[in-house]
Amino acid sequence: MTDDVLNLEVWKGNWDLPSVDNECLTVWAYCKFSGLPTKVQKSHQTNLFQSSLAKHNLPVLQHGSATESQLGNILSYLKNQGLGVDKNFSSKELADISAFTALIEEKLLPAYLHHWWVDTDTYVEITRPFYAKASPFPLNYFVPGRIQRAAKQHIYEPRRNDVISDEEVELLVYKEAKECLNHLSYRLGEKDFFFGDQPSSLDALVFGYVAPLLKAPLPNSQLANHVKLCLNLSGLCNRILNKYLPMSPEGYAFISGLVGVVIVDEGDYDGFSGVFGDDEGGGDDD
Amino acid sequence: MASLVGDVMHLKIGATEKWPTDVAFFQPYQVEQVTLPDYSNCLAVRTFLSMSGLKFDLQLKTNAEEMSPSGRVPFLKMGAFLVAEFDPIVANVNMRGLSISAHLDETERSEMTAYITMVHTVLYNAELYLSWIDKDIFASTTRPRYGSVHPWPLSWILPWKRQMEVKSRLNACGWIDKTKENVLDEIKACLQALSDRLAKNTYFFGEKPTELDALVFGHLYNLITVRLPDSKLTGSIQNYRNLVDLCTRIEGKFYRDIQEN
Repeated sequence: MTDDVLNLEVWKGNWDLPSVDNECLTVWAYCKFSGLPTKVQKSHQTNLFQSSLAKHNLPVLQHGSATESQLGNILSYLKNQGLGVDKNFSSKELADISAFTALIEEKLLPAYLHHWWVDTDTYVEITRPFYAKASPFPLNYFVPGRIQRAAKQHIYEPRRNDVISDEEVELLVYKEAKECLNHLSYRLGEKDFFFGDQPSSLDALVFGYVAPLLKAPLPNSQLANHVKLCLNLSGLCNRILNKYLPMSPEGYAFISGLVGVVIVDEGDYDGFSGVFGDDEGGGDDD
Repeated sequence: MASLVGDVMHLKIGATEKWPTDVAFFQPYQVEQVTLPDYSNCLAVRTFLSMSGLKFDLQLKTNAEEMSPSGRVPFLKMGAFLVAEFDPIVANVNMRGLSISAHLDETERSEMTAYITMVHTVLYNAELYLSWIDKDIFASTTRPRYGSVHPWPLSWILPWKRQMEVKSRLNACGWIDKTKENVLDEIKACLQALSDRLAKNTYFFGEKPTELDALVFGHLYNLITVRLPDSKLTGSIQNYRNLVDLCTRIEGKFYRDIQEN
């Protein structure tokens, strides 16, 4: 049976989320939807070194002898292995999943990357400190910059031409991202998940984008504010968090132990979640 | 890019102005000059306008690309305004209350947008890859055609410059590392999704054509009829019978208008 276990390595969590990275959240949630036996490791130092040398970005999935990185590769690997809930859907529903996945990657991803990695306030105050802290020395000096460069290239390069400035590109990507969120919200409607009662990879994907925007402490983010206005999307996100990705068992033990001794009021809770966020070397979860 | 120009324009014209009588449609020369991805887009826009029953005057210009406000073909000249590329042109027509997808509800419109984006990203990137990155097709077709209207050495320099632009675009979206087989697989996956969605319907959303049908026709008709050094691609498209039938249907009903125009 050990061969069947998926080893998943992700960026660690913060702000009550199991991981802060959208791709990590997506893969993790998808494995949970599918009921696959998954052993999750949160940015373990030695592993991070290896993935960094191999120029992998997290998440990295290991299964038997195969190692896959990047969201698209991992999902298509699972599909080729016949794993995952997507195989239960009809061909028309699968076609819708591909179409909306393309929509999200084209319209939402650029603004999302800009928001975390290019927007100066968020990058300096939240993103860079977090990723630097999550990476071992000396990688902490390289990893945030490397991801930022890749993000900038992804945002500006396809839209670059002689007549459009970077500011106009930013206006454009945020406008497209808000439209994309509206389309997702219309498509979801009143349903529990995009295709009825059972979650799909599309739900996992949307969850990956929406959850960090909802949970991170972002004072002035137009993207986060727009997500909060799409009530059914935040509902979807909370549903997935509660049902599929509740805090890990150690988390619960930790909390219940603490609650037994001290009364946790709101102020304490902030400090406490910070401690909790730092203290997760190899949390596993199945 | 061009949609920003479009936004300003929407503010100016308001929604009341109907289709002007002097609309000109600019594209490069069809037989000698235009490249595969550009022609797909031109065909898609022309089909869309023809489905909407809107008249335009087709203008073939060797420098259409340089004339376009976004640097891409095709583009429309309506009075004092220029609108380039598929999405802004569709948005412009919709703003004037001439939309052919007005009968769709919000969910269907969201689905249509999702499929349009998928076709844009997958098929357009695949066409860019095949015509500019694939060495055989670039040397035998794309470079001579793209450079055909310029004297030497511009006939080498300009295609090379455009190739660099395409490379950096495909690099940013991760397509540059793909092999030709990967690209053909991407095309197949996209066509499979379209084919599953279309199923046995006349058009993607019922009995009436929408902009998605126009876009799919533009790309597929072009991919089916184009003469490439190897015919693997055309063969794999023929497997999706309902998509080929859709193209035949649209060709019969709307393409005659396109040719007359």
